[in-house]
Amino acid sequence: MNVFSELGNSIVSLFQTSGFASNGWQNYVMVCISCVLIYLAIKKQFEPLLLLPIAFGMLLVNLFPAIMAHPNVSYQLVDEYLAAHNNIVPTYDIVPINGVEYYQVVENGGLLYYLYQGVKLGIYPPLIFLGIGAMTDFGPLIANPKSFLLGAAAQLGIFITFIGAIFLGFTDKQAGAIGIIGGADGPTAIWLTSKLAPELLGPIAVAAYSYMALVPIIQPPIMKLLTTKKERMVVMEQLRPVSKLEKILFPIIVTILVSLLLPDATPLVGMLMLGNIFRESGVVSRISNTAQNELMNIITIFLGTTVGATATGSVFLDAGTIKIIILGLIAFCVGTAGGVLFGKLMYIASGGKVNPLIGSAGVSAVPMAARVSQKVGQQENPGNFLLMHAMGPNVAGVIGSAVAAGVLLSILG
Amino acid sequence: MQKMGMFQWMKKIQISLVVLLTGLVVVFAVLVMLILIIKIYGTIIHKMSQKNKPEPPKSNPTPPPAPKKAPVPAPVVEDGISEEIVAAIAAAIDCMYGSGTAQAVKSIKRAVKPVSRPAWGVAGLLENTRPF
Repeated sequence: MNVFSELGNSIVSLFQTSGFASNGWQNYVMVCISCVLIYLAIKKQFEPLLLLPIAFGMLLVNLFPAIMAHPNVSYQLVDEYLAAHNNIVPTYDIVPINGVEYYQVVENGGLLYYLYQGVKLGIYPPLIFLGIGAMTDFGPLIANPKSFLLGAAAQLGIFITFIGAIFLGFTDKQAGAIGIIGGADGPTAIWLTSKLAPELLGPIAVAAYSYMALVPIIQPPIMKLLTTKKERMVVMEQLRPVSKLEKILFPIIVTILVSLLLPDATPLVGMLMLGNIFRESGVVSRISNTAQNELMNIITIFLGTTVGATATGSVFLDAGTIKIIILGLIAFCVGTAGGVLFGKLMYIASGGKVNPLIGSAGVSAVPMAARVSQKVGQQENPGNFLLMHAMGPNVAGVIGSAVAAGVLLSILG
Repeated sequence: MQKMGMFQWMKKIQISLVVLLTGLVVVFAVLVMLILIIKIYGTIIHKMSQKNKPEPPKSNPTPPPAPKKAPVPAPVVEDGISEEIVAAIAAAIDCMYGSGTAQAVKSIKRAVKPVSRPAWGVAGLLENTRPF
């Protein structure tokens, strides 16, 4: 009969330690949200490379919150500990405090806690930039350096959103982190948020990647609204060929200049250029291949999963998250508008040689924004190939958003 | 209480303007400087390459006179290469070098004889035996 009561006890204690007993309603709502995001990532293919790990990390942390638990060191009196644990001597160190002996009880942190250190310490985003630099061809930008201006103009979205966030009640650091969503650059957004407002990392990351996936839907109406048919029909002349020497000098010069002017942007811009010089030098193809492929994939897995794991119920199911989502949309729209309007300015200044549609590609969602410019241009004039011309502002926007992040960090950090 | 509200409002406006102006000015300034430097070294390199090889751009088969282009002699093509491949190579070269310069394909020869190792095999061999 004792066996049955023991069995009853163990089933009850199993239930008591299960997730059903310790999770609140917020956890279950978040589980549903993460399932919706998984559906969007897989079925609708919304930036699946990042949204899928983010969504799954969100799922894991809301089912088992201890997966992100901090490691814990506590001190217990030796006698009390032995009494509580049936006199079994543990392997913990004995530490004398004030003459009395204590066990130093160490609890390790959760799995994702240790992987999250790469995000918290700002390691993963610069490594992703290393991979992006190794994949990027800056040729169109070097051939037409004026594209840098379009890359700068599209960062307007960041600063306007900052103002909006301040007036909606966020602190200035939080507003800076929300504003960087307008840079349309995932690693930059995560890097800046982890430094300025780590408590908002979950919502900001989800907002940033969702809007990057929605670029083909958000941009065309704004582009068509702000340009005339005649401007959209402009065919730009072919870019000059760029020599190997120029392509090798570019990353060196950019690194020296940007790091001297704005040291806070060095981790991002420096790693971007490091990856690029791996690619352009032609003598380290092994490293260039690894940076573009294996390294990017590994870091993407860790970054995505751990960023998703910061989205617990208490952080995500907050009025602030709705505000962040709305502000993120404003950021993208204003950024696109800023780029297109500056494109119009360049159209007038160059006497009709620059097609304003490439301005919207200054939003640094590479290569999606460039493809959107190409598509809208082709709708007007089927023989118009704007893709290469739009890649100039697109990659300039990557550098521009990293510089803007450096500026925000130096003012607000 | 109303004074407190005004003060908070003024502080918010102040920091908004500071960030907006500083941010835009710095981003534009840095990128404008990059534009200038890239243009400068672009022209330097262009001048250097003009000095080094003034001959090859001038050695076209027939220099085209202004209104009418003289016909360019057909490229000397090795046996076994089809016309479509010649057309594709000529189009690729035209694309790379732009339509401004008058470059023409003079001859096309196979780099590796077809009877020896296939190209992919050679590539794999080089990949695996390349020094660290």
